[in-house]
Order: sequence, then C-alpha cells, then structure tokens
Amino acid sequence: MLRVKHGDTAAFEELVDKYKQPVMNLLYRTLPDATEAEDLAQSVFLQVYKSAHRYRASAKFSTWLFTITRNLCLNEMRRRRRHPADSLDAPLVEHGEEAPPQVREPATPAPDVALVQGELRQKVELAISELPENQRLAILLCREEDVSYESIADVLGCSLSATKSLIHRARETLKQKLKPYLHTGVWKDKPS
Amino acid sequence: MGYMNDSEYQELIEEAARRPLRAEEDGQLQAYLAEHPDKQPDWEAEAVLNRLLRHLPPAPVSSNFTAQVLSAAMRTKPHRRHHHHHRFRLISLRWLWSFARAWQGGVAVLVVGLALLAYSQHRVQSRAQLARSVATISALTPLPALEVLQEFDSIQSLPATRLADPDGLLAALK
Repeated sequence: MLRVKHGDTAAFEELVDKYKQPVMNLLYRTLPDATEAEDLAQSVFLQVYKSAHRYRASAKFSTWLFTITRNLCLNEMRRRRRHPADSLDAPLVEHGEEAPPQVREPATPAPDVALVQGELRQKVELAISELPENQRLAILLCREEDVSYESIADVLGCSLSATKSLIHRARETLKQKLKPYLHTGVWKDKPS
Repeated sequence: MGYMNDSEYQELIEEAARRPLRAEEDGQLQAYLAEHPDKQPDWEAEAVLNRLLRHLPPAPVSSNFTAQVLSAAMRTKPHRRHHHHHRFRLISLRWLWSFARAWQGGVAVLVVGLALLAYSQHRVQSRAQLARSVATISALTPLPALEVLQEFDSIQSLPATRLADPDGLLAALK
C-alpha cells in the first residue's frame, strides 16, 4: 500500500488481485445483485486508489479496506431505502441479459446431493441476508481468516466486547433459523 | 494436556468460528467436553454452523475485474495531483515555519540590543547626574587655597573653628 501511495500502479494491481475476493464476499451477501455488488466493489478499490495519500502505515490495510467497503455499502443501502423504486426485489435485467444466479450450484456432485446442498446453501444465504447490518458484516468478516476480532471491531466502529457480542448474537440467530437443517443432517456431504 | 476452564472454552469457541482448530486445541476441547457433557450439544451446533459458513461458495468475480478497476483508476489519477499538491503545501508550510523562526530570532536580537542600549544610556545619565551633584556640592563648600594647606604645622595649630578670612591668613604667613 505504501508503494501505491507513491504511485506504483503494479502494486495497486497486486492489491486488487489479492483483495477482490474478500471484498466481493462481503458485498455479494449484502446487496442482492451480483452485478451491483461488483460495481460497488470496483468503487471500493477506486476509493482506495484516490485515498492512497491518506493511508498511514500504522493502520492495517485490510482494516482500512473493509472500513471503506462497509461505508460504501451502508451508503448504498441508505440510498436504496430513500429510493424504493431502485429496490431489487425483482431480478435485475439489463440490456436483455439475465441476472446471474445468486447461488452457484456445485459443478461435479451427483444431482440429488447437489440439489440438497444447493437448497441448504440458499437457506444459509437467506438467513445471513436477514441479519441486521452490523451482525451480518461481523459474521462475514469473521470468515476472513486474516481479519482479527480487533480489526473487525475497528471496521464496525465498536469495542472488542461489543463486536464479540454482535457475532455471538448473529450466530445464535443463524443456529436458530437453520435448526431444522442441522438436525436432519442434510448438511453432511452424503445424502440422508 | 492442560485442563481448560470455562473462559478458555469460550475463547476456543471464538477461535473455531474463524479458523479450523489445531490438533492440540481439538484435544483440549475433547477433554473439556468429556468433563462437561452438557456442553456437547452446544459445541456440535457451533461446529455445524462453522462448517456451513466455511462452505459458502466464494462470490462470483468477473475475470476482467482487476483490469476494469485499473482502467477506471488511470482515468481519474487524482491522488497524484493531490499528492503533488500535498507536497507543495508541505514545502510551503516548512518554508513559512523556517521564516517565522528566523523572524522570531531577529526580533529577539533586536529586543536584547535595545535593552543593552537603554542600560548603557542609563549608566551614562546616572554618571552625568552624579557629576552634576558633586559639582553642586563643590560650589557650596569652596576649599582654601593650596598655599595655606602647604603649611602643615601652622594648620595643626589653627583653632577648630571656621576661619573667617583664609586669604588674610595666607598673607600673614608669608
């Protein structure tokens, strides 16, 4: 990031390649449309590029990056609440193209296993999308192994204990919503 | 394998939410659960949820995502101008600071110089005033002629009272 600060374009390209997946993972499960999530992800990296001169080496880059991601995401959610016509309840269709599916089916497993796993995955995705914003962000950031609890707290602007409490509540909610699937065993790889 | 307390168990639960447990940690966990069988259902639910969250597929990302970002970034490039502007501001601020420090130094030298000058003037005036005072006193009490003072013995025998006519005495002595 320090190289980017001094105008190194190759360094910026490395950063984008390294962090585009984690940023998309966060945005994809917040905005209901993959295309719009990708547009917002591009905005995140553009913001990083424009703000590079403000970056300080004392701050961990991933914390800074996810803070920008969170802020842009919240701005977009607020914009959509103010303009309900832009709501994405209906699938987005532009220029005659079909909107990409929100959940990808696994490529190789047997059809019945794929179906079950796909259904379960959809339930998990739905349960996550129904979480309150901060809880959802906390749970999704938790999935990124190189993001510590302290970094998550910095991104959310909460204390460490408040952050852990958020994550705990989110996990309890998910366990409750997914209870039927947990007990039937359909989450296992082999069919029930 | 060390015994794990409730607090350590909670910490392990939190770590398991973020990454797979190491073999040593798993061993500690199993030992704790053996001591606290009531915690087993809770741990199993946690483990299942962890697995579900980890198995979520990665979000789809276009193959040309990075290229699109770079293209958009090169079209803007405001951070370079801002960076130069920022450097210019820094240089200007440094120059102003140096000038202010030099100015402060000059003012300090001037103040000290004026103070020394004032002190010197004061001393000169004091001496002049002292000299005037001495002259005034001298005019009020004139000394007798030098010749009178040369006759020491005569002077010794003079009465202690003030002489009315010092010049007359001088003539007599001659």
